[in-house]
Amino acid sequence: MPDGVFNIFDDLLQRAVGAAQKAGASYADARWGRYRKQYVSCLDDHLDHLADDESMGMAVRVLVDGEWGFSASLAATPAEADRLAASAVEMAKANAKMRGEPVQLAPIKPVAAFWQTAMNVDPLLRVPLQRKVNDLLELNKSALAVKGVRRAASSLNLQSEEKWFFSSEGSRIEQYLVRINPNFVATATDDKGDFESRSSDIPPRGAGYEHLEQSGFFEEGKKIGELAVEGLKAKPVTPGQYDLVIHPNNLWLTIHESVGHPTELDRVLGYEADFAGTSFATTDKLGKFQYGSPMVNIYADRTTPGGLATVGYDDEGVPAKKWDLIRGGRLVGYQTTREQAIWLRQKESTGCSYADHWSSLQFQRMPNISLEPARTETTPEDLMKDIKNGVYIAGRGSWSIDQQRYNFQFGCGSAYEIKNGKLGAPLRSVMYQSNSVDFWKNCDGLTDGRYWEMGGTFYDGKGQPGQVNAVSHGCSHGRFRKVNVLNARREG
Amino acid sequence: MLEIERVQAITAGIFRAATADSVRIWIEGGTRAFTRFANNEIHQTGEAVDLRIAITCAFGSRHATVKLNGADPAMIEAKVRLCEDLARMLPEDPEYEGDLGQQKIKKIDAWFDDTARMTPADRVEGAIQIVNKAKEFKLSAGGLIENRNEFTAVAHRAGLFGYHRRTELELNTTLRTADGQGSGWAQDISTQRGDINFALLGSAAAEKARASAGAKELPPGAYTVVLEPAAASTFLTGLSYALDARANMEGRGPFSAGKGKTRQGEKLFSGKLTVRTAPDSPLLLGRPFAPSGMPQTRTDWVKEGVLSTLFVSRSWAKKSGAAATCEPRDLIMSGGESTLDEMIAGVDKGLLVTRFWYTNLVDPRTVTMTGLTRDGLFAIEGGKVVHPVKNMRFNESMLRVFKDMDALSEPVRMPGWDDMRAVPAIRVKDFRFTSTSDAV
Repeated sequence: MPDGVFNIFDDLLQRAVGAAQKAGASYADARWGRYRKQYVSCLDDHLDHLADDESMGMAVRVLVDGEWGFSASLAATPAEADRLAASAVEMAKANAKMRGEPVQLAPIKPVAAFWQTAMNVDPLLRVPLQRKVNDLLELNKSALAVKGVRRAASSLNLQSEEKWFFSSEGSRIEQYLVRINPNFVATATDDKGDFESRSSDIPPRGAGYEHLEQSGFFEEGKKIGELAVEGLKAKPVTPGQYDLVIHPNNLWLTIHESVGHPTELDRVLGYEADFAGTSFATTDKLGKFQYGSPMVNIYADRTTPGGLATVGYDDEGVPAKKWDLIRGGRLVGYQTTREQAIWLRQKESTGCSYADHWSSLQFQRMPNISLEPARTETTPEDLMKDIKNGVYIAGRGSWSIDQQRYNFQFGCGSAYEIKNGKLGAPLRSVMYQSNSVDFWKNCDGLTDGRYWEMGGTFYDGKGQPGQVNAVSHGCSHGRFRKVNVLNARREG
Repeated sequence: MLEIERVQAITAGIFRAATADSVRIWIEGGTRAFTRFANNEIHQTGEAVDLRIAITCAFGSRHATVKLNGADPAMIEAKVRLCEDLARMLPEDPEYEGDLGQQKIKKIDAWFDDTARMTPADRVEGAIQIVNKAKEFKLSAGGLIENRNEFTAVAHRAGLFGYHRRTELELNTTLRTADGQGSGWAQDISTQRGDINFALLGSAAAEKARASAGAKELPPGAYTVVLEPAAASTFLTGLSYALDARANMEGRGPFSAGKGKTRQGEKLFSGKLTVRTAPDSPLLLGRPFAPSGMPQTRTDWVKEGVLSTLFVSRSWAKKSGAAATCEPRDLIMSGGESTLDEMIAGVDKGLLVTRFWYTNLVDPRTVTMTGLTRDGLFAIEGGKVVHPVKNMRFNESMLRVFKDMDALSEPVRMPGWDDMRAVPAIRVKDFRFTSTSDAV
């Protein structure tokens, strides 16, 4: 552990960068990080698992003759800093045999800065463990008190990233990021071997423990238990084409998959073709392509308060910013890193470089991406009032989308009939399937800002070797016309 | 990379430092290095060295786990103190299963020096072979070459000790036509570097890319399908999700029969289906112990169509009285004797599927899964592959796929989830596709 033994900036990072430059690097950056995770889970009436995880190490990334090299190690010592620099340079030189266009980086203004997640109570350092366990056990108890609930499982996944970044251009940045992810699932069973589960939709946040109290997470037990029992008795949905009203706690994931991933510039240009895939939102469409109806305005924002991808600076030292991806339904932007901004001939990166661990190479990852609410007063009831036979969708379910982001199919937590403009009976096994562009073009109603809320995930996967990214998506309710609805069980 | 003696010294130090009744240790580490290429160029490369230690301490049934990286004795000592402090303050867990005593753990030799010595330049050479194949046919190649030299070890205060080290080289590659209308994929993974034939895999992906261009749209519906091994693997994953004894006994699994009973012992699948854990198979050379410490011994989960074993965790064994089993990892789905061509020849009208993408469970009761075809979907007519087909989405139940499959090939090795597996191609009637996709 370097604290108190070595000065992280001077003895490790600056030294590594200097060693890389001496070995031939035209650019180098070095990161040291301490990644903490605490995971607490309770099953029914008892603690199931408690794990407290700390991982530290440093990494050096270099550019030599326009080729990248990267090396990382748990051992944070001056000698290891030298070795990592040499190893990264050797790797970059080896790549010269397959050299393509030399990498260039969009300019940045170097800064010396400190940034941390806004929070009242650090969930890792300031909340006694017994309190977390007791809170979860009470949550389980309230669900198990609902007749028909057989299983209650709750957990808290708490993470922090303490990151130090130094570059050969003079950036010197320290950040402390905190994220909190509550989970709760209740399962109802019957005596015929059938079962149904429902989850809490209180979202993860870049926030302190206060998020759990303010959101009412620990009071969710009875409600979620009742939803599970209701789901078990609900009537199976009849497949067909319906008008949908989708709650923000389901629509956020649709935004993630159908807008977030297609606007990642590396995917668009084929750099993720082997795994994550490519994208229909190709660069020839920028500024011209009608992605959705005129009311669809979607923006990227690494400054959204509470957002999981909210930072001060990305992992290349680019300051956080907000920009448009879709304006008036038209494709107007992409997510970029410094290298990628050059590909688009843009003057600056949008600040989307991120590594999920000290040992991981930073690359383009998704920022918070959100849908603007309606500007005029609109309630969910307003959206439903002209629907004769529709479906109201809420909560997380199963999800899947193709590798170019056209065809998606999403499940949900709870669903209800919409009959003659009013919410009706609960439905079971509902999934909706569409093409991303058809879906967004058929969006003809949104609720207003009072209903706007953020969902999110810790597990946005991309890259090879795979990395995860925590990201939030905000939206209000949306109405979508003529969408295919499937019955998950009937389809089976 | 730590040798067994160094690992034993670390575990002994932890046992000395700890005062807890039960102490369980998991150690893993080594070097992972990779080279990524896309658009016929290398664009990412890297190497990382790490050593991770997880320590669980329990006083009676009060337990906690701490994890750290590095083997600094002072840091380990501090983490042991933290772990014990946390365990003491936590409530009891009636399901805590305690330590395992000494176990018979089979030694599996999965370390090959030739693989361990791979350099960045070796990975570049591999990528060049793929890219040369791509350029020969005016295609664009992308992919990952990753080599891992790692060990894992488990130790419990009551006597359990296991150590396993493994080398691994993995290649995934996708070759696409210049107009983006054709895409082919190939993959291989082995402990031995010599097993991975970069040029051959590049040729296979190139052939698929060229053959898949110009796809015609077919209507969604039920088709007889021949699923190549990577596609069939989707349903093996579905089966492995479904094997938990507790979930099924508690009425939360697909093999639940209600009132605490399960369907274990019933013939639920085609008599051609046998699925077993076999880490010692030369195809896999997997880890001989599970994270719980249980030895991963040869276990039949499904034997000739009969659901013969459900996974019983140590904690469920304690609660239910059933014997604990190993985990459904390092799976081999026993194959038949058909070749892929023979399986295709037996189809009058159907589809050949290279692999599926973004698969997910949509209904846990019927283990219905969804996903999309990718990198080569082809029409079969009169026993012959006749033309490429636009990709489609399926919604199909694992229970039905394994019940109705009527032909299998020899299994081939492939990566699982943090393990290895070997899966054959299979043929299934009335496999349901529900929508088409414009994706290539």
